[in-house]
Amino acid sequence: MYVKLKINGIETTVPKGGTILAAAKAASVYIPTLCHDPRVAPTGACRLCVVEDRRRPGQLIPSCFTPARDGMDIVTDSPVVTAAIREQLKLILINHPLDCPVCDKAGECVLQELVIRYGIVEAPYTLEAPFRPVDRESPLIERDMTRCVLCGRCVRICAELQGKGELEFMRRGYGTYVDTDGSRALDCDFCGLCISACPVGALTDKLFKNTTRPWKLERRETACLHCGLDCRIYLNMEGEILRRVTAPPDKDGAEELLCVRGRFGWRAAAGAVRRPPGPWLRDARGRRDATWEEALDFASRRLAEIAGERGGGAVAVLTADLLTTEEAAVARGFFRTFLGSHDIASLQAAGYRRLMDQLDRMLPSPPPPASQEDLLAADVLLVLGGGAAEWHPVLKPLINRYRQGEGKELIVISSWPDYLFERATLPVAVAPGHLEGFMAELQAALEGREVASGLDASRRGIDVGRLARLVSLLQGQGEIAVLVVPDLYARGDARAALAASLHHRVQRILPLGGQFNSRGALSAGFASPRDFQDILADIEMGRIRSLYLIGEDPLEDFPDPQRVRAALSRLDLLICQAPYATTAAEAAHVFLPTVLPWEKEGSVLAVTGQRRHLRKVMTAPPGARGDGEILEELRRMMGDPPANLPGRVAAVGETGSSGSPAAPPPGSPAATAAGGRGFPEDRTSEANAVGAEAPSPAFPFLLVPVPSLFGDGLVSRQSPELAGLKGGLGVVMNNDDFAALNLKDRETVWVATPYGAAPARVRALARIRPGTALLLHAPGNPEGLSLLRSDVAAVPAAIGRKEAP
Amino acid sequence: MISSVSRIAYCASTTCKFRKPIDVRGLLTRTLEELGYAERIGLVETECLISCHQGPSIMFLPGGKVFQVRTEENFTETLQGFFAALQHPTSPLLSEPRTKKEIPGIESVDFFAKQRLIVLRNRGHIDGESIEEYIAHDGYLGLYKALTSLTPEEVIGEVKTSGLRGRGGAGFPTGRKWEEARRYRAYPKYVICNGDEGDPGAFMDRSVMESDPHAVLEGMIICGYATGATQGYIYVRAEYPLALRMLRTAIARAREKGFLGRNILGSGFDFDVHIYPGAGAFVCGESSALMVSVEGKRGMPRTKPPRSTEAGLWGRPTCLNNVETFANIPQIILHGGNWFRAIGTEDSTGTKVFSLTGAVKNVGLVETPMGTDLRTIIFEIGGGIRGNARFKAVQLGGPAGGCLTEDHLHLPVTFDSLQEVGAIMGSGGIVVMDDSNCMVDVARFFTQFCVDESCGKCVPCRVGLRVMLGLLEKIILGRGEPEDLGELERQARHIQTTSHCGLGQAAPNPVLSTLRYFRDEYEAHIHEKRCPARVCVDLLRFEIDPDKCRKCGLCVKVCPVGAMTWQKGEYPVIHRDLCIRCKSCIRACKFKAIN
Repeated sequence: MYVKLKINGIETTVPKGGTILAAAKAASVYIPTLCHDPRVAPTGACRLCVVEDRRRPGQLIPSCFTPARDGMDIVTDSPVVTAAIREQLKLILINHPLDCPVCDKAGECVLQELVIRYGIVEAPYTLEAPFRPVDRESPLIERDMTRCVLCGRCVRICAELQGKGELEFMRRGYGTYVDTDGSRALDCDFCGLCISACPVGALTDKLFKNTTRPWKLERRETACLHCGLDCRIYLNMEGEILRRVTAPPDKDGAEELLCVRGRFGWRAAAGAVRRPPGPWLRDARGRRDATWEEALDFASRRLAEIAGERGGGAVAVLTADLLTTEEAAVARGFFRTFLGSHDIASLQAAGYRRLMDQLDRMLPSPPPPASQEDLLAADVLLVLGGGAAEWHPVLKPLINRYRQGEGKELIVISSWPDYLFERATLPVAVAPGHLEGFMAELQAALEGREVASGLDASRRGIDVGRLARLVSLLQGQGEIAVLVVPDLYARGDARAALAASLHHRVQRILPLGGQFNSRGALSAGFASPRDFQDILADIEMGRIRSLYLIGEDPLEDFPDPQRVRAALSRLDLLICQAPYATTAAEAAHVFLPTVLPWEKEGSVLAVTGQRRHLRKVMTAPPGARGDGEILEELRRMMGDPPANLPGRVAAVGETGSSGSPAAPPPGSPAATAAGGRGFPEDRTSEANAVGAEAPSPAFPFLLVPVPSLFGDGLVSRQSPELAGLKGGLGVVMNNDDFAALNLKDRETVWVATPYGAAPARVRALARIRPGTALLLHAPGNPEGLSLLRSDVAAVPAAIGRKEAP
Repeated sequence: MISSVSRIAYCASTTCKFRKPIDVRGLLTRTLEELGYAERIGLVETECLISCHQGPSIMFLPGGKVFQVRTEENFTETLQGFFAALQHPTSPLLSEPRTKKEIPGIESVDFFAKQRLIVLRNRGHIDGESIEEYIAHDGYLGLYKALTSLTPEEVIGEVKTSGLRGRGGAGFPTGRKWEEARRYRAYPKYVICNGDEGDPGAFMDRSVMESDPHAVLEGMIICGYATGATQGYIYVRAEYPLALRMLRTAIARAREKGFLGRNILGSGFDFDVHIYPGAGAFVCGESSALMVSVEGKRGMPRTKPPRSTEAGLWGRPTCLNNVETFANIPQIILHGGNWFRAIGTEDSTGTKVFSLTGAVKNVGLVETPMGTDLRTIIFEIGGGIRGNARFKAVQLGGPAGGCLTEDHLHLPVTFDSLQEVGAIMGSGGIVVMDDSNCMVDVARFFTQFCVDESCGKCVPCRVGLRVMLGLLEKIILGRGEPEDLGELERQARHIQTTSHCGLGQAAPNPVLSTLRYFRDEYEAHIHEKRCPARVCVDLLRFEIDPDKCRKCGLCVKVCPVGAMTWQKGEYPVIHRDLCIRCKSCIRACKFKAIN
């Protein structure tokens, strides 16, 4: 159904329901707008987009929301229209500060453009200036509301897309302004969508402030490094200096979606962190800088010795998944084929890799690529596990877009109130520690199998009515897409099994939690079914003698750092090949500095399955080399494959699923501390599901480590801006618990578990189950990590003002 | 004649309470107790018994004789006096203000005799809190008829036949609105009653909600049945505590009796009503802003399309009507659309309730058939201009309405006739002004109101109105320049043509209509720096006009700062250095001798 009309005499068509503005765009006719943002619903506030219909002269029609109708004969530049636009601009310019020379927006300011286009040179009116707040205290975003034209784009984008509603109009009439409640500093997601929406210089990027002028910037397209969604971004370069990050335009010409990490986390790659100038070696005499030849020679010799003596199985690899797909193929060739190693794992992406591995085995075909549009097309979005939008913050606006559709259902099964849970049409809360068991039961029930306990919802803390609706939605006619979300440090195996068992009913299954190129690494076969928990046990038992770290750092990103440190000290060889000198680099025998993805060329595969080729957009630091280059060089130097050397122990098997020892009893800290011996054979049965240790009088709370919006991965941890927003270890607890302990917002409290104690900043949230507390920002924080044990979804904890015994 | 009295109705309206803070109910209860009639004579709380300028009033039923409660002192004797007076064919205690004629009963007063009551038919006759009394007066009979013998389409057909147009101001045909809301198949649907009456000087809706809340409820339930809605909201401004109380009681009673809730009257139709108190923003009377406000957000008008009948409250089809519109519905269903159509004019059928205020003798609620001319309303029902002043202008339709002159008094009041001369029916506020009003000042007052109440969303209303206000203030301060009038007119047209909602589009009306009919006053302000009505204090010279002054010395007596001196037989002298320009002398002078 199309509507045919004329714009300035040009015949054009738009789909029925399309606006006059859209029709004008199709006809390449310019209509001035200020409050129009294609990403959000129109509001019709600026009244600049007025046009006239020749059939009804004198009547001005706002084109940004008026639907085009058949036979309209629109004029956009008649004297009446132009006079109205000029008058509107004059009114807007009353008390708009003319500080363009110091305004960061100058050069890309919509108002500036309009004033020049319509030749407003006189200012016929004067009015007293109304009160407008200026906020220079908020991190990252500066609000100078004296420049605000009250178009409301920030208000709408924050509420409609980011779902925060941090900004709102205050007062009314001529005294209207945009502010936070109580005129406080911003306390939001800092996604910066408001900055991208502001047509003038009222909301600006603090990192960019007074650094350069916009017209000096060159925009280079690449992918964001902070998670596996690989959002398209523009690096705004002044020469070779990165000044800021923006999003490229979408199909409507507005900026694409971006989160706080993408927009403000770029200083992790440029500017903030001192990158190591060259490789170094550590031997009996201590640490010394080395040339690349020395370092590679040492590394290749030691690797050959260990692999020669004990077989390739004695070498394990941890990757932060920052390799390009091509590099991952090289790495696979080197470690698996050449060395014969069968332990290739990740820390941040461990959950994702495990989900992918399970689905790979359980599904008849691998999950097909799912673009963002595919997700929006589903009728029912089933999210298994909490933290989807925390792993990948761009899911927030994306899912909000999804929710705006008619009749869309969002089911979130989670044991904590994450972002999506709070916005679900059907939130299913499961008591912490019961999530795995519940999903296994749900799967059994859906498959028509007998469940030992019956599907006893109340035992799991689940509302029975919701459960009924969940089952009816899953068995209904709607098109279902499933997002499978891993826990931060626990193995959640039942959710993959549940997703796989639904595959015939489901259009798309999308595992989340992947890092920059996790999916690319998996597609290149640079993976193993065993994760670091298994590797750690093998190191402790002496089976693994060498650990090759590619970016990843187990001392910064795995529970119980003391245990990890002790294990690492037993290694014969610890090689750290990374863009940053993290904690493990200091302990490594060899450190090899590498380049970041922006500094090299290659392709990446997002968790959605979309492949993208990235060009080199930044110059690499002089001492660093590409990961692929290093591994190829090592292989060249090692010559013969060590597999041909005598004494090689047979590998456990490439897939590693058979012949593994039995799993430790679940949830038992003793078993975990003693070291898990392999991974469970039957990953779906409740016996193996990850539970939680029960709280006790000494430790009355259940502490659940959850992913952070501000990023827990290697790159995010390097960003001073993101670290600042995190503000150290955080704990979020139920309002009543919070009040019972008589705590103050953001006060520092002691969090103690049977394994350790750490100071953390506390906040309260009404929707958290009483007795449950969330632990934020533990990755990268040794004290925080010492509170936890791996493979446990929740640990008992005490929270209070004084240090716990 | 105590035996003839079965009930005493007393006015509990805000107006009466403001006039004299007497607890009439308490007073009557105590006194009746004392006299031993407490058992036999019931009390009825009601709203607006007679022109509000004389309250608080009480009415004896049956018979309808009205008396004033002037003081609490010796009320026992007073009441006994009232009872005695009932024996007389006329009431010596209440006289018609103009003629001083004694009034036998309420129906013989001009103020009431010329009215035709449909919406206000129960006012003063029933206790608004008693559902039984409402039922006894044919209450819920319309609903019964609709549910038992009419299909929803027939109900809509009846409303369409009646020609009823929305009483909130825009005059959109109610039947068509219902039909549209019925057409969309998205559930649940909503019915909203707009009780956010915010025009200065308008109190029609408040009175209806206070005195006859069940009529509003019944109209809403019928609307819900016709459109397929199951949930209703009444948006009442929180400044109407009595209306809120009455509605809450009415909803509770209606639920008890099964007029609200599940399976109403055994018909299988479900409907319930909630009250949403508004927080006092004028713009929330705009229907889309009202719905946004009910959703708990900041009340600002949203873009249309979609119309709210397609996607209104929470994106669902919503039928929003004014209090008065709903109050008409039960009668239309009961008596049929053709009965209603016969009242009023061809295009504007039925009656309209006006709140008559300003410089008229009888201030109060007036319900007349559509098409009654302004002269009848102001001079016959309203009793003419108060005091010895002359009629100057009448302002219709609230802050967004226009000011009309004596030349327009012959105009029949209908939706279209008013539009033609630059005024609007609006919600029905009529403010009558005498010659002591300066039209520039009046325009400034209404513009100030709109500036204060603009939601701030769109540019012309937010900034343009402020610019207009600045120009008006400039003129009032005596700094007006000749080109300011052109500028005012240009800005007004700009705001009219480019504003988003009705508030902005109509806000320049007071300025435009006064510029049209009272341009000479503007010109006097600008060219002669003179305010003909002697209102704009900066243009007053505070001089004694020797031609008019009778040397009475009254002005000297009222001067609060002793800035005037006078000796018998002499002209008073004004000492400018002491004068604070409070205009007390000007108001006091009966001969208009001070300029």
